[in-house]
Order: sequence, then C-alpha cells, then structure tokens
Amino acid sequence: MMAHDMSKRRLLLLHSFLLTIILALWQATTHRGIIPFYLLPSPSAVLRRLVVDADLLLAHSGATVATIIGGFVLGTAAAAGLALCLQGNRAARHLVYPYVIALKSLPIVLIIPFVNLWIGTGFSSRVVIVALTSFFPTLVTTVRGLLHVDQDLVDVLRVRGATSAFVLFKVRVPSALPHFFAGAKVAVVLAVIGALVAEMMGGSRGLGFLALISTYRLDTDVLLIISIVSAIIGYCLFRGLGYIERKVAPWNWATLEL
Amino acid sequence: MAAALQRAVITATDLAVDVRLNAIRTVRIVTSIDLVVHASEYTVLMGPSGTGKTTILRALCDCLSLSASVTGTAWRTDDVAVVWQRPALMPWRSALSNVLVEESLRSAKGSLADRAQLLFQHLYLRGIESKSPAELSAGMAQRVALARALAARPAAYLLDEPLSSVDVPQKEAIEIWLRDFVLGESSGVLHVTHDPYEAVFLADRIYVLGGTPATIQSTLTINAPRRNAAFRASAAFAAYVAQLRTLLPTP
Repeated sequence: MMAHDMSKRRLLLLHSFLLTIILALWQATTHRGIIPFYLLPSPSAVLRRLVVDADLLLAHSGATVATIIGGFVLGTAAAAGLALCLQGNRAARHLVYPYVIALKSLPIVLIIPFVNLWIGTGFSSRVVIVALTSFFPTLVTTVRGLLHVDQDLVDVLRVRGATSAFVLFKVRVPSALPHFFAGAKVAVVLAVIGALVAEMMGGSRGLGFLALISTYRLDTDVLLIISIVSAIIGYCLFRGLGYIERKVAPWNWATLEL
Repeated sequence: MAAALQRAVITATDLAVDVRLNAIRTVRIVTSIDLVVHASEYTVLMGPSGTGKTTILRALCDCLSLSASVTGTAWRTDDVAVVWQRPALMPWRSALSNVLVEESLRSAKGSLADRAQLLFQHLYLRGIESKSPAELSAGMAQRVALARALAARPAAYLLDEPLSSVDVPQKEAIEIWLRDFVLGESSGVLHVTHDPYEAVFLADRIYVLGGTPATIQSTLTINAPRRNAAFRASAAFAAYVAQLRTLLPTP
C-alpha cells in the first residue's frame, strides 16, 4: 500500500514536470514570435482567452457533454440489448453482423447528412449520431463476453437443473461485464469524436459547432482550447467508466489497470 | 454386499464415445464400458492420465462437447451433482455464496445455511466463507467446489479428482469423513482418481480403465467394513494397494 502511494505521487510529480517543460518550451517559442500567433498561439494567450470567454466555452462544453452522455448511454444500451438477443443464436449473429459491420465501416460523415435529413439537426439527431458511433465496440465485446463463459461452471449448474435463463442472467451476464466495460471504454472515447463531428455538421450548439466557426475565423486560441477540453472530457468519461466498473464488477478489477 | 439390494443411480451399458476430429476422421476414446453405481455405494474409476476417465464422467451427465457422440446407454438419476477437475466457481460470489447456489436452483430445499456450515467445518474451510474465489488457494477452491456439490445432497455424485490439489494429511482426513458422510445419506458416488491409495481407501469397488480405446480391464472389490485411520495403516490396505498396482497398466 505504501509503495503504491509512493509510486502514485512520483507519477504525479513526473507528470507536472513534463507538463511544465512542454508549457515553458511552448511559451518561449510563441511569446517572442518565433512561431507566429496565427499558427500557434502562446499558452498565456490561450489562458487569457479561456478566462474572457469562459461563459461561452462552458455553455458549449455543457451541450457537448450532454450529447456525448445521451448518445453513449443510448448506443451502449442498444448494444447490450442486441448482444443479449444475439448470444443465444448463432444464425442470428451471422445474419446481423454483416450489416452492423458495414454500418460501422462507413465514415460517420457519410451517415450524418441522412440523420440530419430524417431527424433534423437538433439535440436528438446528435444523440443518434453519437449512439451510432459508440454502439459497435460494446456490441462486439459484449457478445464475446456472453459466449465466453466457464463451460465447466455452466455444466455444474445445468446438471443441478439450472434453466437457460438462470445461466444467462446469473452466469453469462456477470462474466460478460468485464468485456462489456472494455468495449464501453473504447466506445466512450469514440463518442467524443462522434459528438464533435455531429456538431460540426449540423445545429448551432456544442464544441464542434464552436470549432467550425473558429476554423472559419482562424481563431486558433479557441481551437486549441476546444482540443484540450475535448481531451479532458474523453479522459474523465473513460476514468468515470473505470470507477463504475470497479463498483459493478470488482472481482475483475484486481488484475487490471485501465 | 448390501449395495446389491439398493437401486442403481448410475449405469453405463456397452458405452462408447467417439470424438470427431474433422470431417473424415473420428476417433473412439472409450468403448464397451459397463459399470454400475448403486445408492449407498462408493465406486472409483481409475486409470492412467488421458485414458478417458473424464470422458466417461461427461458422457454420464450429458456434458460432452458437441464433437463427441455417445453410443450404448449412459444413464444416471436426475438428482446428480458433479465436481470437475477445475473448481469452476463463480468469481463474483464469495466462497459461501458459491456453495449456496443450490438454493436458487431447486427452490424446494429451502435454506442450506446449516448444511453449508457443516460442510465448511469438515472440509477445513472455516473462516474463508466471505473470501472471493480469486483469494483462495487451488486446494481451497477445490474443496469449495466439493462443498457446492455436497450442499445439494443429491442421489448420486460424479467426482473428477476432487481432492487432487489438497495436501496429504488434510486429504486423508477428508476421505475418512467424506465416505461416511455421502454413504450415510444413501448417495452413490463415482469418483475418478489416479491415486491408488485414495482409490483403495474410499472405494467399495474400483474400475480400472486402460487400453486404446479404453475399456474397463479389471474390477477390484474392497471388502473393509470400517474406513478409518486404522484401516489405512492395516496390512489389508497395503495388500489392496499392491493388488491394485498390479492391475494398473505400466507406463
């Protein structure tokens, strides 16, 4: 325990050290005009902009986070539901998978115009787009998890008269949880991308929309802020899922890190 | 023997198991197996590793893989419990909760808490009730798996090397208790092992498996009314072990 705390503190120290060096180098090269501000703004300029436009940035960030969470929850729930439907039926998997894979192989920018045509460019359309981008990894890993059970355990229980419903909910679902979370963690990071792209291609809210405007204006300060904020959102959501996983499936956590 | 008057709980008649390797090749693992286990009878299935002891056990409880096919009859009572070589516990449940899983399988039995407590005591599992399977040693996990089967109080047991990871003194103590416990409840046991000492100590009858495909090459009946430390130390025990060794195929 002690050793663990120490290494954690050391990691934090190394992180701050690394960040300080990066920021110092960045500030040094941009402040004196070695790199012109319209190519790369200085950290101090970015910081000033962050304070000045705090309200605007917060409002758009909030809209984006809502889109991400809404779409991610919808996509993940749909993936889990479909996985439960597909796990017992090999033929159904072979029937459904090609379409799911085909859908996922399409760049989301080709799908977005259709979604915007059908549902409009509001919040619900963006949620659907995020759901589409975040649905696939969870589906694949959850199906795998539901099928990849300890067959000896299933046999022990079946011999004692366990029904297939019992095996599904008391054995397959718990053993699939680690797989489910592995997929969901990949999906949540994809959801951030999906949300920003959706906002760029429709509607007038969110960090993606703000990024589009800022691109037209060559407003590199704001573009940088958006990049950093998006990264932080993705990181926090990833870690949040890790926290939930530790609560829901603690037996698996001991051996894993991320 | 009194056992002859009891009803059979497990029977195999002219049992053979074929495993399909690919579209054209099928290999016969075991053939012409005839065995019977009556209620209140402890039988042991012995043989070298890889002969097909586990295959017979799996055929008897319908747990073979899809590539295997069974001919002849493999019958057992519906009320049977198995222990595999691997403990196969639920990692998300505590040791005690794993043993109590039977409560949610056959509702009529009610609470098994008292029985579980008794089993934990006799299998030297006291104090680990709330531990998760990941925290258990191999020997402990194996005893929890045995406790899970015993908790069900079935009419028949199929045990596949249930004590292979348990240390010798503990194993010998458990053997003394186990035999009396299951026979006292009129259950029949088919116990797979490759340890001749374990086989002689526990069994009323030992089936020795050998050959390719494997068949039952000999049957040894152990006549000893009391199975205790004195029996294990006796000349009769040593003689039975020596006799059993002559029946086992040489490597």
